[in-house]
Amino acid sequence: MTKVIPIVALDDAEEALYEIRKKIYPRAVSGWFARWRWVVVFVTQLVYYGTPWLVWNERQAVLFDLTARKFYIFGLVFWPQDFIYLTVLLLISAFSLFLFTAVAGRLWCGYACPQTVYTEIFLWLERKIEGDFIAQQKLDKGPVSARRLRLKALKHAVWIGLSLWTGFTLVGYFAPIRELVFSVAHWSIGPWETFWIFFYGFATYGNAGWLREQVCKYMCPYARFQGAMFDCDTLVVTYDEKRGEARGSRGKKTDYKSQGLGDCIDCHICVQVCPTGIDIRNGQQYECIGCTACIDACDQVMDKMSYPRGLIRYATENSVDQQFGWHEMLRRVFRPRVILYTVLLWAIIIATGITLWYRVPVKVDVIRDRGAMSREVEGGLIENVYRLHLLNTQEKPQRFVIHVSGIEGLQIVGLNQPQEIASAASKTVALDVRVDPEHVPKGNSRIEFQVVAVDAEGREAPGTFSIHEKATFFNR
Amino acid sequence: MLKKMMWILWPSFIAAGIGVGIVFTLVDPTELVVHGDHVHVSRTTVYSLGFFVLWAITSLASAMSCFLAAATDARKPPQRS
Ligand code: SF4
Ligand code: SF4
Repeated sequence: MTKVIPIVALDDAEEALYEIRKKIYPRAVSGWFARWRWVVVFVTQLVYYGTPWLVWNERQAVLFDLTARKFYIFGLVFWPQDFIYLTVLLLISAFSLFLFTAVAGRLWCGYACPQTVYTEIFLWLERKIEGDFIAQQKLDKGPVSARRLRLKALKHAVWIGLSLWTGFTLVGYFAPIRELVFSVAHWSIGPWETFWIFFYGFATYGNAGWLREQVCKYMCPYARFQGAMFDCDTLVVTYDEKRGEARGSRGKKTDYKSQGLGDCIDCHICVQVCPTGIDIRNGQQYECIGCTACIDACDQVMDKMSYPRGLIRYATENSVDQQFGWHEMLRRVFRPRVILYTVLLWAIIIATGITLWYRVPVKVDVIRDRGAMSREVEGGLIENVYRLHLLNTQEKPQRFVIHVSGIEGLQIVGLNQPQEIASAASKTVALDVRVDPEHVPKGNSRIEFQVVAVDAEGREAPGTFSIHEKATFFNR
Repeated sequence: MLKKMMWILWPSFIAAGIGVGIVFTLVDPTELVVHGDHVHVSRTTVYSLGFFVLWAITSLASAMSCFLAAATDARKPPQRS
């Protein structure tokens, strides 16, 4: 049996809906979930605004120094050569997102996404200035008055102030933030820094002040493909239709069951609080960002009516259909897809941790001199010229001795040993490698450079390391 | 119209961001040679300009996709259920 679902009509309706987007005035909610969301907002924003101010080793603890091409993250310094770690970070984020989505739907959207968080903060400011959602609507519909202009000007000024601070903080991750403060105070801030502060500030203001839920509906790719990570055992914000229908208003004392009514009193509070303006009672919709505002709101209504809470609640599709309880629901969290995501995630994290722990604090690149491939020098020796690019990833100076091996009688000339490299710096050294032609065949031969860390006296101290780097030696 | 702008500018913004990241981890702007001469501007300038050039190109691609998709949809006969 095939079921044909009419698509066209819905598309048209939707098209019409967003072309004449009505401003949504979400009603404020309080409750258990709302409190937790605010905790998360506070923590994430504290981390975001606070991190650039932390100090480590007498420098900014977290700084993505683009002009020096070095990334500092607490005790670690990353270079462009460490590109792999960026990829790994992306992988970890992706798998965490898959995992969270499979277990409990759009947790990310509801609690942590900057779009939600800033919208939440902006809404809060709007309420503080203009009053609750009814006052706001009245203000917008009412005549242009001095009071309206004053409130609007104040609101936008506060919004813009917060946005600029946000932009400033972002730039502070890429340029030392304390110097940035100084240059802002002295009007000597660079053109690009200024530009990016305003660019990001403007983006924040536009997204959180004006676009709001439209970003989630039309711009967010995650909102569209998260459905693929869902299954019938994913926890999502759900309206318990079996319990709620038939909806209808009634007095508090009425024996509604005998009238054939369900628990939903059709008060529309859940619709009023929804920041994306949907009615959760129509079932799962991709617009729902899982913000749980409707859960809190409906629970309050249920309390007032002295009905049990949870008409709208976190539940899985299976649990609502088959009406099983928390235990069964929790048991079903451990299903193959979740276990797979978890194992992969931990495998990546542990592997990364190990490689970071054993990271050798120097990197060596051998660059062959492109001009002269090979030449004969005094004494009949064959000479090749190399450049070694040495990178000290530690935040203290290091000294190195360079050896070469692979052909009998190989020797290095024209190099002062040991070589010292300043903390977190790089150096290119040129060196000539010579050998008696008797020991080396025509064409290419493999040789190997060895870079050995030494102490101040030039000795190989115990616990030091050495790096081997392959190269070719050419003999005409 | 606003919606179309969002569809075009936002994905291309992400793509350009990734592109700039990859290009400039491999290439140091101070080693760039344009028309046989080294560029004499700060790295920040090269990064920023590089980003906007890439963004312009990726936006063009997005806009083209948008245009093609719209042109195809318009020719579809109305579906009946
Ligand atoms: S808040 Fe609860 S009772 Fe009120 S309309 Fe929504 S689901 Fe029904
Ligand atoms: S339906 Fe409920 S959980 Fe979903 S976005 Fe609206 S208020 Fe938030």
